[in-house]
Amino acid sequence: MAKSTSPTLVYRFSVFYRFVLTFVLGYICTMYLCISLTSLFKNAINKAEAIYLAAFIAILFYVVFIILSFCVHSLLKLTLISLALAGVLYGLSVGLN
Amino acid sequence: MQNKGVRQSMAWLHAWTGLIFGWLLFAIFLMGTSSYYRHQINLWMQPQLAQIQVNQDKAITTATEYLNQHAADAKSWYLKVANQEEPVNRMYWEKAIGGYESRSLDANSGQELKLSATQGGDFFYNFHFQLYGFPVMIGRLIACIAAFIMLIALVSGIITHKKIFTDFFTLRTFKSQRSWLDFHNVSSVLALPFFLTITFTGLAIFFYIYLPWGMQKLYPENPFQYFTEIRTVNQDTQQRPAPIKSEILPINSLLEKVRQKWGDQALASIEVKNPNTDQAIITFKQLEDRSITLNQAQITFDSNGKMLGNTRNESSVATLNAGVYGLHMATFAQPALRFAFFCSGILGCLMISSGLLLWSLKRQIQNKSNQFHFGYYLVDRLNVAAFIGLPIAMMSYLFANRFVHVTETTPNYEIYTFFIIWLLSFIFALFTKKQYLWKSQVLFMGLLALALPVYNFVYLLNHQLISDFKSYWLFLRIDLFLIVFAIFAVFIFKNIHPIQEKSTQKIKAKLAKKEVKA
Repeated sequence: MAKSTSPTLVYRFSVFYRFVLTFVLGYICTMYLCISLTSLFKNAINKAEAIYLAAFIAILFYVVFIILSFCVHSLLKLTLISLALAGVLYGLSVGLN
Repeated sequence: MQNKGVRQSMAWLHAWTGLIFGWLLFAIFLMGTSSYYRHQINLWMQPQLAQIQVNQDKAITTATEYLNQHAADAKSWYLKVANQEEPVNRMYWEKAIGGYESRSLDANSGQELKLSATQGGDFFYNFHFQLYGFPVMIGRLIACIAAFIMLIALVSGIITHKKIFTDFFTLRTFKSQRSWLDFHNVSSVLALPFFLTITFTGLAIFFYIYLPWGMQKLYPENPFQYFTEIRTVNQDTQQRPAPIKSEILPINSLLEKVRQKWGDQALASIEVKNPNTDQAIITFKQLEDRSITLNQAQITFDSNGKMLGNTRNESSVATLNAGVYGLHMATFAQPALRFAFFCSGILGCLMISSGLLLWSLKRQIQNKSNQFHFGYYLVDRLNVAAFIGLPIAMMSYLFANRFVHVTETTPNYEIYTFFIIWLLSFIFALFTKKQYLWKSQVLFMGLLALALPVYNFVYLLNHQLISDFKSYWLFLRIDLFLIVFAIFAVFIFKNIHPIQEKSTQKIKAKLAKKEVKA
């Protein structure tokens, strides 16, 4: 990893980027998943129950998202997968609305 | 992070997330663990209350008389009926013009209580989920972020720990002095289900703060309508006219009906919607609750005293919601299970502290140049201020209670003491040499833990607050814990250096082995 001082900076930046990407984009995905599931569940169960069940699943999703994000080595791959997932969940939330 | 296996990545995530939020998590865990006995701490801090003998029928009569005098036109009343554990009537009501008001009353006389404005154990309880000095929602959000990080650290820790299942089913006793790493693993594995449950349930309870989207979408006008609907089912869907003022059946008549049905069971609360109107709904709840899902028995009457059907939402998702809340609050756990939960909470504190100490020790050994490193220096001092300083601050809070009488009009000197002592512990740690760092504060902690029960006994005798062992037991149960804590402090004081040396040797050997392999 280290030949001069700059790779350390690159490494630090990549760690920071991974943290921000994982937690911020993960939260955005969780938010859209929560909205989508709420819309989906409200057709089958009461409004309040739909809200709770959606949030319950969304929290678990967020945990899994973060754990998996730190298992993917390539930052590019991680960025692309996360953005694609965020796009799909956004589309789902709009579509189910 | 680069080119690492999954377990190594998880170990990295575990170490850094644990470090960033470790101290806050320790404070939340320790305060939360103390909250299992907050009613007992309340009584310890308000010894005058400990002498009150509660008669619930009288407590209900005096409380409803007070509400009829001061809040006759309120939209709703909520009365937490005094019981032997909490011998004070606590009530709040929703005013006709909006907003809420609350009071604490003497259970026998119905007079407003002016004993002491101490927050008692509720200070620890409130701190563990909303901190102190922040706006409530911000405090809760920070606590939620910390809980989330805890969950991530737990899951990543499980993945890192390859022998998790072997260790989980093997109780390893202390055969010799173990290193921090062993201790961290043992304390984590022993109460792992408790940590996962308490962290996840804590997070799920406050979902409405960080995931309010569903509530805002389905209840755009009043998102908090969600709470009413998840708890109760609305049986009457027709639009009702505005409530008309009318006489309702006296509370004693309703109480008689409740006694006929339940016998002499203690009551937890009485809730009245639209009091003194033709649409009044009065709900009585039993105190005893052995259910995880907060499903204690309840009876609901209308204004004429007619018993109404069950209004509780008993769908599976609503039960899940209640179960999550019940598991976190552990109201069902009495008394052995509650003690087990308390011990698990203490294990959680030990897990967090040993993890942070391990982080610090590893970095210091890896720092072969022996140059001053501000980061390691700060982590070391923060460790002491959190793991020793916080218990000292909590005991000082109890001590302050015996020295100062806090009233509604004076500042809360107990809380001031708590934060000043905590800050002083940190400042003292900053300027203490490494070889005296732990021993000095551990010694102070032990002395404080020993002095407090002694001083408390003298105080109670001087103020004639105890007459026999039974009346003393209410205070002794807290004092006994402090004495056990003092013994623990003596153990740490004696063994801190041998443990540190042993750990250093073990980690050095491990690192040397790694280097040889490399």
